[in-house]
Amino acid sequence: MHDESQTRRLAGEFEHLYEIYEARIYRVIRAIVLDAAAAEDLTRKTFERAFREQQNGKRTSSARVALHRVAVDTAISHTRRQNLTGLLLRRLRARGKGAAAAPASTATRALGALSPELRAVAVLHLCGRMTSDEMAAILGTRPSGVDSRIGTAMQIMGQALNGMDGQHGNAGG
Amino acid sequence: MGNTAMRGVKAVADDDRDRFDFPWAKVIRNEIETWQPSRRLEVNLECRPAPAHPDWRLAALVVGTLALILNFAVATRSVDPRQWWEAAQTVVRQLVQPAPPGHLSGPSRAAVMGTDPYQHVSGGASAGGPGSTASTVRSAAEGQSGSSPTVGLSVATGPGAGTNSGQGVEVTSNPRGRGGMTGSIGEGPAHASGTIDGAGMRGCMGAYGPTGRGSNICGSVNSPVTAPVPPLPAPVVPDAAPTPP
Repeated sequence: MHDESQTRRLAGEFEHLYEIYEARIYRVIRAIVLDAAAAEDLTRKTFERAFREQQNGKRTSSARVALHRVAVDTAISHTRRQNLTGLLLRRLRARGKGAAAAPASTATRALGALSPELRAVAVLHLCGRMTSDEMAAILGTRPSGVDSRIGTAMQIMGQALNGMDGQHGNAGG
Repeated sequence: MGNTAMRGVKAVADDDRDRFDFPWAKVIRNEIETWQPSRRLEVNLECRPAPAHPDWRLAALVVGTLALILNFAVATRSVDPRQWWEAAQTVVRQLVQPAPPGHLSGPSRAAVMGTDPYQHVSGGASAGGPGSTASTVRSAAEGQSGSSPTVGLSVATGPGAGTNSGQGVEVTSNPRGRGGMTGSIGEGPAHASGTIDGAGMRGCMGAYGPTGRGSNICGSVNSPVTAPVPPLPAPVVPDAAPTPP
């Protein structure tokens, strides 16, 4: 357990990490949950959880990898909970009464076709600039598994974008 | 430094691959990189102790309560909490005011040690009938007593099982028509047997060497928890002698 001065020093370090990684962590989380407001809340929770892990001496990897690992875990757990809640609410909610959905951007459409786990792989691949080993440490898998998941994610996203372009083209024509 | 170089090499390779295989990847990457939090997020970085998980305490409480209820129900053979209360009172009374020595209904503990491996064979760890092999299941176990109908079950397996031999494994429920269970395991150099019922627990374990010398250790704990006795009927007063007319 850390004493008061160590905690203060650790908090200072985390402030610095926060300055560097806030936007990156926010992007990773938002790409997984596909919800801007929830991503802000989860980004805050990610830094708090990573700080507590560091305080309790649980962190074993670099700060960058540890932060991304906590972010991915937090975002995937949130998405699973939301999916479960959505399943329950869908039965109660009348059709057509939901808020009109904003037109989805290209990234949202492509990522929306993936499972939360594949979204994590895709966003780390596209924006994380990480090695396979680092991604494997974040995702809790082997580097060979990471490459295979990246291939799957890219393929699904490509199909989703091509299919939607085809639909739009047909509708327009 | 090496990691950074690796990342640089990988980024270039990824960019090349994406440019040819997935031309839309650059669009998505550029879009994601425009995502920013709408406001400065307030992160609470203060020293907080990890929240304690009281789950194990709750689990222990639930399991303890269930065990207590089950114990009372078995000991009193009733689901009436009033009878449980009576039984608990009886036990507490006997613990607080121990019965005089020699009183049969008082709580007792005993241990017997012998040098003969077959000296103490209660519970079924006896030897006999070597060479026979059997596996039996009997209902209405032996040794029932009393006039009320009881149901018992005996399961035995191994050589000589069911013929008074404890070789192998034998389990008998309701052995004497008083509930409970008796079991034995092993025969020969190491063996053990035990009985648990409403009157308490008894058990033996023994071992002997190739020369036949060995010893048994037996013990018993008697907890006289019995069902409350129903009140006696009102005394019958004999009619007075007939008066002479």
